[in-house]
Amino acid sequence: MGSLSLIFPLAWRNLWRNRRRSLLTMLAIFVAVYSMVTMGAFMRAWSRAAVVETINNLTGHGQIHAPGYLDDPNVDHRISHLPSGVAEILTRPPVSHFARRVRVPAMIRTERESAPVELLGIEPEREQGLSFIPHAVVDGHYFVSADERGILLGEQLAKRLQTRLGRRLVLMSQGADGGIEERGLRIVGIFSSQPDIEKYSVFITLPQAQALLQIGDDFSELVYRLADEQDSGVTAARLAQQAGELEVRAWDELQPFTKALMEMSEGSIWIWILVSFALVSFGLINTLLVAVFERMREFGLLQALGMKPRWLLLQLLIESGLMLGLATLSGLLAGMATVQGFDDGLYLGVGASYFGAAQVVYPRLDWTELRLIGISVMLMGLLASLYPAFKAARQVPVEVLARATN
Amino acid sequence: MEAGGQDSAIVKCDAVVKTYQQGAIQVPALRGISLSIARGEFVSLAGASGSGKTTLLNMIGGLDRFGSGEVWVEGAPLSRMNNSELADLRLSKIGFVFQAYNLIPVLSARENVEFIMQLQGVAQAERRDLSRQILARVGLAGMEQRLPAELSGGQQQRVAVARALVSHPAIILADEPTANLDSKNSLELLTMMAELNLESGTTLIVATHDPQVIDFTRRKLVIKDGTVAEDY
Ligand SMILES: Nc1ncnc2c1ncn2[C@@H]1O[C@H](COP(=O)(O)OP(=O)(O)OP(=O)(O)O)[C@@H](O)[C@H]1O
Ligand SMILES: [Mg+2]
Repeated sequence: MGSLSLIFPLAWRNLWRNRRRSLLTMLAIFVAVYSMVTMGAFMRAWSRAAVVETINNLTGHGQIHAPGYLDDPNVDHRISHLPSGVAEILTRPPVSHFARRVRVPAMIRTERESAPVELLGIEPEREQGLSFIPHAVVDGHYFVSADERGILLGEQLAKRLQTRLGRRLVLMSQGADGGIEERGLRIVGIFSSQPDIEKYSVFITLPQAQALLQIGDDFSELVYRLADEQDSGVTAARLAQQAGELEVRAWDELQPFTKALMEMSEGSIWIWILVSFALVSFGLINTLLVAVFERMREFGLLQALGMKPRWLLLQLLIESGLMLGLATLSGLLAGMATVQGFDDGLYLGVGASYFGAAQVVYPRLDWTELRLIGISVMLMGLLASLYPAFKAARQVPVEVLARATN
Repeated sequence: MEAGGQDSAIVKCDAVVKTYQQGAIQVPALRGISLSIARGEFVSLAGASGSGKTTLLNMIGGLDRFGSGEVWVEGAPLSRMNNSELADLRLSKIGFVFQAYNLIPVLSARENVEFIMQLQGVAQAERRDLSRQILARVGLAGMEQRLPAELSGGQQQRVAVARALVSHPAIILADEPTANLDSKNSLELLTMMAELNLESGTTLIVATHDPQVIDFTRRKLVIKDGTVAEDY
């Protein structure tokens, strides 16, 4: 081990011999590591926010419908009662919340305007913790009783209908018997949400909706939420087994766009990681090859004086290991600092919500991922250094010295 | 075959041939060198430029492979050693002073001198002691911390000599050690090498053009066109 104390200072000093070149190489590694850390964190935050947003909005982690409802969501496709097996699953973990909804197309008319809408009849208490609506009312109030008579409108829809809180409007929809039913309702709350919900969705209480449509205790959909998103596939499958002819769908089947967005961001992280690896490897190979060619005489001398080829190899590997280590560590630290700096959330702007993503994302550090990036950059880099290092170690000492004499 | 390395010769060459390949051209550098050098001899290798002096030293030092023949160092045939064994041989038995490029650029004078001792695993305190003494002896006291680039050609050469001397190798192979020195410094260096030769019985083989050096040595070999032309 005496030789290590010899090789290490040699490696360290050679690193600073061509300061500019070493620093540039380290900069490339730094940028690669930094971008992997930050991009990974932000892309994941973005897709995670999109998923949370989707699930919070109205989708939940899964839904149950009558056959045919998903193709043609109208009052004809209703659930009259839930099989007992389904009810049992819904009341136990991992299911944390569930609620019934009426969800049908409708029309709204005010004195001045009319607009097509999606009517949701909800159970106000049960939507707590299940969807966004209990906390989205910005003017007026959310339903205070289970059968309150009143309607919640989105801000944009209210504007479009040229109406406001406290005014009355007429809600029309096709009832169970095929005739058009209508009812006058007072606007008790205005809510704010993502644009398509604000423009098209209106909320009344479930009993009011059932009465309007004359469907007794029937409903259009059952939505549920889980303690952990990971369980959504399994839970949907278990429910489907008990559901008979009812159709069960997990959130990613109901919202394929969000699912695709998630996969796309995951994919782009991987592409970037590959690009970064290529950048690191080529940068290192190039730097080391140039350095090795410049120092052929020196390697010859070291060997002539009795240093073994494998010690030379080790010296070169330590040189690149030092560059890799310094650059990777500072890249990781800088990346962590950046991600930590956005702990309170990164505001993406209103535009983001048009793509189904949240306006604010919360990047988080993933220790497994940090470790993985650190270790794999080091390994890849050392692997790439092997070739130049072998080249240095394979030199016959005298050839190298001969070159010096002339 | 002759009596191999069994006699008292520390270095023995038998019909050593070395041909360099330069593109399509074969350059014969050694054309059958046979010689025997006893332990403790102080030998000069003279000869015109291009006669093969450096090549011969390289063969004896195990720095390169020869085409045919054999070289024995302390009885061990070099053609049968692999690169790692040759490195061990150089480290344990041979001190080198090269013609031009001698010092490791990133190491100070003292570190260059200590380099071989460090490879050999000599303890730090002992290394410090020996390197300080030897550097003083070659007239470089006070310059221990300088890098090679901060020393003159002659000073660099003296560091190289100090490095070759310090670990008391059995053989020192020196290629033009006085090339960059004035005659006063050359004489000092020669005296030092002669002292070492006497004190510790180190075998010295010095390739040189310098008449002062040739005069100084007890045995003189003259190389001509890759063969031994004179031995007196
Ligand atoms: N690496 C090499 N490739 C090709 N030819 C070489 C090589 N090294 C030496 N030679 C040739 O071998 C011959 C002997 O060279 P060598 O260096 O041994 O001579 P020398 O006696 O040391 O000369 P000098 O006094 O100039 O140092 C010369 O013709 C030289 O050109
Ligand atoms: Mg020569």
